[in-house]
Amino acid sequence: MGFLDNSTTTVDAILTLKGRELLSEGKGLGIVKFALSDEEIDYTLYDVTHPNGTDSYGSVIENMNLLEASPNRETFNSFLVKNSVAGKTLNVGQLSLSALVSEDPISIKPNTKNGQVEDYVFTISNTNIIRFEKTPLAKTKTAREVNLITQAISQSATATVRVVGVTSGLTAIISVQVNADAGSDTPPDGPQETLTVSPGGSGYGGG
Amino acid sequence: MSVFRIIQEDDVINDKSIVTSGLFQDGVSSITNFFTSSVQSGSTGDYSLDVFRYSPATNASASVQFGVAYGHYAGSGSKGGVGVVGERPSKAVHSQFNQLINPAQTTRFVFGSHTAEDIFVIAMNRARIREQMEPGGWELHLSGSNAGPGGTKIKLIDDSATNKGGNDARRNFSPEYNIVSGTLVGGRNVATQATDEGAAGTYGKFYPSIGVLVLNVHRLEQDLTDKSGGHFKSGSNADGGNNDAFVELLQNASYFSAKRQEEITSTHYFVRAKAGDFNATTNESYYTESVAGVKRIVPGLLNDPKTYITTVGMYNDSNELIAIAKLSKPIIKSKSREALIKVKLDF
Repeated sequence: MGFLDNSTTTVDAILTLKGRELLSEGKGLGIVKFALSDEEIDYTLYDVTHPNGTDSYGSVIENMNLLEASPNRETFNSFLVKNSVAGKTLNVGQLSLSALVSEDPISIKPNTKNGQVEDYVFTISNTNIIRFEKTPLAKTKTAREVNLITQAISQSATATVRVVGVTSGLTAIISVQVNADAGSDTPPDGPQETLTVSPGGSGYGGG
Repeated sequence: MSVFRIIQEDDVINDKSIVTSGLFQDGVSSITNFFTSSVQSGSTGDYSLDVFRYSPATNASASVQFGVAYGHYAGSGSKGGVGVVGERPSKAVHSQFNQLINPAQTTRFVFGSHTAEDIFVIAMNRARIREQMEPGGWELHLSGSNAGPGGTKIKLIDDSATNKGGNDARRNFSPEYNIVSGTLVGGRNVATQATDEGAAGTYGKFYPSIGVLVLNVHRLEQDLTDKSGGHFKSGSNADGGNNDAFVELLQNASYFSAKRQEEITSTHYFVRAKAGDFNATTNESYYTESVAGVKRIVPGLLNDPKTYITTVGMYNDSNELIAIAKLSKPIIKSKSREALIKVKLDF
């Protein structure tokens, strides 16, 4: 007779830059929800021909060592969800925008093909390069669609906008390259002004 | 259903714990070598001497562990005086710590029944103590030149083991403990209680919150009798070299142990992945995609879906990622398996 395994997996969390920023401003972290991700997993490693049988199909994946957490993250590349997204795709239009100049407008209207209508979490990697039109200091916004404005920067640079379907978890990354503005002295890699968005930021035609 | 799951109120547990660790460089709790810097002693050494674990002359990583300083209420043991050229560093040091620790209108430190003219101060490096020194977690040895068998070696600790809560005298910092003879070997054993000390007073006072030990010079000299004329000089308008003399006592005895103490506030979030949930993923490698753009789950996972949890993201109400927890190995998740992950967030 053996002992039952009553262990719980315990992991240490680190604050992201956003978490540190909130803490430094004396605001509570306000953690109210979680999401699970399977980043770093390549499911093609699941080997259904493994000679040791079904229990070993996933042994390559299950024995890998994962990377440590990095604070410089705003979202994940993939999420665990309730239902398969087979047959569903996230359409955000162009995935790469280049040679934009300052104050060019960008409109992102995602659409979840074969899925239900949903809101999306839009996350800008660098607000020195592009900003939301109506909430210029926010890095994250939850809405059905957003409008962005490119910024005047002293050197040509690229930022990304990650779009995550709130229901589907489908993720798309849009790359935005903005040319240098001769009249600007704002370096794209300088400190970014940010703002915490109040809850209930979902909306239509926002930005 | 959203990719986000609400954390229930009873899935969040807050607790506070005290963490202690070695105070000295490299995280050790005791050191046996004591070095000073000729650069520092040549500039501000009249006021205080920085003490290192490694020699700063030969080891670039040597960092200051603590400082020692001699203070005299009238400025004796250092050059200068009222209306006399000289900076009177011993007066400055005494006034500095008197102002810092004692209430207003106090002019001298009182150790038991002795009102002291002069003091020695050990001030721990702030970065080394972080929050505070651990009461009952330090032991300091001092010795004159004849420290061998039969020689005098003073072993000092604080009396926090018996003096719960500290002294009740009014001070600018609390708690205040007495420095007494004793050792931490085999537990906190006080050899002589502060109340049993004689006219020379107690060995000193200890202020854990600021990492400062104030020593009664008069009491030290009573034990350290091996030097003609005493170990410390308190002549008027004359440099006594007392800081160097005190470092010699440390070097002779070769032992100082101390631990620091921090209060860690932790929040534990219990993250539950129930049997029927999280059995699918948006990970592109989970699917094959035809030329026509039709996504299908890869063979082998289609009939018996399995996913792997590698990361837990903690979000606020605005869907902003606030904290990340990474697992050391992927956890398998399927319809027949639940996962309970305790995410610990320290402040």
